[in-house]
Amino acid sequence: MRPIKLAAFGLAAAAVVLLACGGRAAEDGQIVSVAARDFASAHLSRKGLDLLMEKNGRIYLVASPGQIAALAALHVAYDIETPRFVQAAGQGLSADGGVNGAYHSTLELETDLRTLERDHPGLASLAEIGETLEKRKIYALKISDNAAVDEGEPAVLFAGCHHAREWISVEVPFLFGKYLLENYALSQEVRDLVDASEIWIVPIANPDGLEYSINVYRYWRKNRRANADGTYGVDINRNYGYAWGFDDLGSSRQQGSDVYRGTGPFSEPETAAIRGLFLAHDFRAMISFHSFAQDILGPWGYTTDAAPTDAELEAVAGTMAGLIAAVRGTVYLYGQGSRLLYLTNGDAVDWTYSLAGAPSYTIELSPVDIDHGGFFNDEAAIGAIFEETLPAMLYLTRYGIDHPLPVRPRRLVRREQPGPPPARKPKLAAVPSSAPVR
Amino acid sequence: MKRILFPFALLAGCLVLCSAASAQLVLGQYEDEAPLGTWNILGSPPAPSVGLGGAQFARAWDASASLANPALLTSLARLTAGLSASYSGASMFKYSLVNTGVVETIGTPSVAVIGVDGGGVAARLGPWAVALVAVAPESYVRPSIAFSDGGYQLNFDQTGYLRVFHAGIARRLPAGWSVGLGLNYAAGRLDRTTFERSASVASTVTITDDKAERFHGFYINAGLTWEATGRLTAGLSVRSPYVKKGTAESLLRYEALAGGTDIRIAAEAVNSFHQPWVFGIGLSYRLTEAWGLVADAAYFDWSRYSGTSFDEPLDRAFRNVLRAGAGVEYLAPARMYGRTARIPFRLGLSSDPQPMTTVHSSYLALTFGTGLELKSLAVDISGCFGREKGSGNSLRAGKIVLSVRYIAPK
Repeated sequence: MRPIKLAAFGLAAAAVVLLACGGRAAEDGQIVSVAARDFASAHLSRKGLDLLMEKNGRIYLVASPGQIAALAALHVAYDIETPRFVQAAGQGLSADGGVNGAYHSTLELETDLRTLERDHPGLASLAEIGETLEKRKIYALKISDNAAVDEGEPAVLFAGCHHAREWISVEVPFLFGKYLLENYALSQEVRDLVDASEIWIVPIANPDGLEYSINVYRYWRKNRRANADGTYGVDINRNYGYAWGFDDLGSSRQQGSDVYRGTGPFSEPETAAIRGLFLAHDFRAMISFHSFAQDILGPWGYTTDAAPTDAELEAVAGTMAGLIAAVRGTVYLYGQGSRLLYLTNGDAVDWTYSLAGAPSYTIELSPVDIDHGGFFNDEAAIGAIFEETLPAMLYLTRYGIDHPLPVRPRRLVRREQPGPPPARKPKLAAVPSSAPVR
Repeated sequence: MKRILFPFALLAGCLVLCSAASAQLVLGQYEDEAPLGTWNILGSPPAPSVGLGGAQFARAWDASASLANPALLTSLARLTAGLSASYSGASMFKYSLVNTGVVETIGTPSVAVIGVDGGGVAARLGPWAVALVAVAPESYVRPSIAFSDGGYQLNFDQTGYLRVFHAGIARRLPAGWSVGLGLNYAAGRLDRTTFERSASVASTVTITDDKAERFHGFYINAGLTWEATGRLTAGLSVRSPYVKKGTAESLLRYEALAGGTDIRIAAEAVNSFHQPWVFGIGLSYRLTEAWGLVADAAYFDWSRYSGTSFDEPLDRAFRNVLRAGAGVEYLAPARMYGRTARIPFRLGLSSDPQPMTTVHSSYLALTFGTGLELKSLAVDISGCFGREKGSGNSLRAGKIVLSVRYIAPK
């Protein structure tokens, strides 16, 4: 499996070359900008700098400290742009405090989302898309020009916290929304994206589970359904309607299992809420954030058979992996979820993809393994993890805008419940035997 | 002189013993800050009261009555001192990570607590009476968890208590009336620790979650009694609402030696718990010299209960409840070593509905007691055995209280 992973990363690097004229990913790099004329006159393209983009006569680069020193030695005027790119990260977090530190609780998130909506009238609109078993609201923040109006623009969904213990998965989509709103007036790129699309942010898909994880048991994963056998919780990322209960490998019928799929597809209010949101808009791409592993996982999860648009999915994932690596060299592997990680049926990505082929991904955020924190991330790392994934989120948003889906409804398979599982066993070599499910 | 000093020595002993005290009246669970056994706690009734269904608003045995109704102090002897200790046990089904999704138990866990409930002294001079009392009315202990399987280990512990230091004063008024006022300082702590370790050949991961709260508050209580006849006494009581408030600290820690990982999330906050009004009414009727009846009702204004934990409001949907109890007492005359004595027999019932609205839970308890009353010394022992309905878990609770009273001869 390792060679496959390495090859996958190689493809990701190649995607960066294609996307951004390539170069070696700089470790601990900064995003800097130089005037386009200086870039040409100093022959910087030959000096191994990662070129991100060109905007308004300036070239944006990823540069290591050594390369920044080299710019200075060449008397090339440059601006450090990293803070602009991650303005939302690591500062202004009203989630500070509480037993979960800088991470958001459901109440803190509600407060922050309402603040964003209040501070950015016209650009942000907060919607209650559902209510949980414990009567908590599930919120979706819509970011668009004329956000209060349904203009039928292409939509992209960024969702977090299907799994309660994966606290970092709340922060990345939230910070993305905050970044978009705070940089709308500063960045032409952001303005173009927001004007041309509806960007939907659902930072906490599983509020009940998150509260239990914060207040009672840090490693809680599921929602808080009281099951018939006295156990608690349904894994809401096994409760979506496509390939639900396909087999007992990708989910479990055992109520006490960490991957219990529930009594039926969309039996849980959390998945029903996401379904309602997704079906009501023209979603063209989606990321469901999870942790941990540093993977970008595309459909299918329920089978190792290739998805109908496998090549497109791979290319988009590869590009995202490359963009992530370009920030500071963090390697995210990518590929089909069932092959790269393990089988999952009834997950969000398979369902959203099954509707019309929208590129849909599970991104398993940092860290890479349990020895580096597992489901824990240092509070100080929140900003850095967001910073790494920001270019990938911007890219996928642009991709969704530029790539209309076929006229819906387009079924990628003939039936809601696919046939029997494939005869071959999934390759699980990437998963340590002792690792918990993610 | 020795007789005068004895009650004060007893009180000093009580104060020392209360530092380790945690026993209280039975039953309960549901939230981390819930007192063990029942939410509806007012004061710390001595054994005779426990044996009579917990009745304490219209009849006093020792200084601890001042916590429930300070006006009762005028009915005590010139000088009294009392000390109570108890053994109590309660079963609990859902608490913290037990039977809420993480740890499943076979059967219902239970916890037993032994300790000093409290004690105090009361003195009466003319129409005035005063009392000093120290009690430990609430315990926050939970059954511990210690689970291990191969390289996996999970431990959970919760301990805590509330102590109340009380000073009461009462005055006898004309026409059988008495009025009383009490000042109360409450202080306590609540500590929780969850420890989880997964060890394999490749790596060992340890997660610890420690929370510690210290809180205190001040409240007053007041009461009124009316001796309508030589047989009938009525009592009214009120306890002010108050805020248990104090510092709280939390440390969530993840350690993985193989990766050199040590992640800590630390927090400090001021937690607060708004305790409700309590109104009490009681009747005591002496049928004959030997037979007596008592009945009580206490109204707890729980719908106003609220709390803040680590800067977030606690979601507590509570309702107001009325706790009621009644009992009958028979004092059998006896002689011991040539001295006149009485042997009390007590029987009672109590109904103790809990304030949660998500689960309508209520305890019905049978109480009984006996003892020996000499001229200046009384020893009482009572039991209270309750069973819960409403939660579906058939919780049980029991308590045995031993009280010793010193009554200064006239």
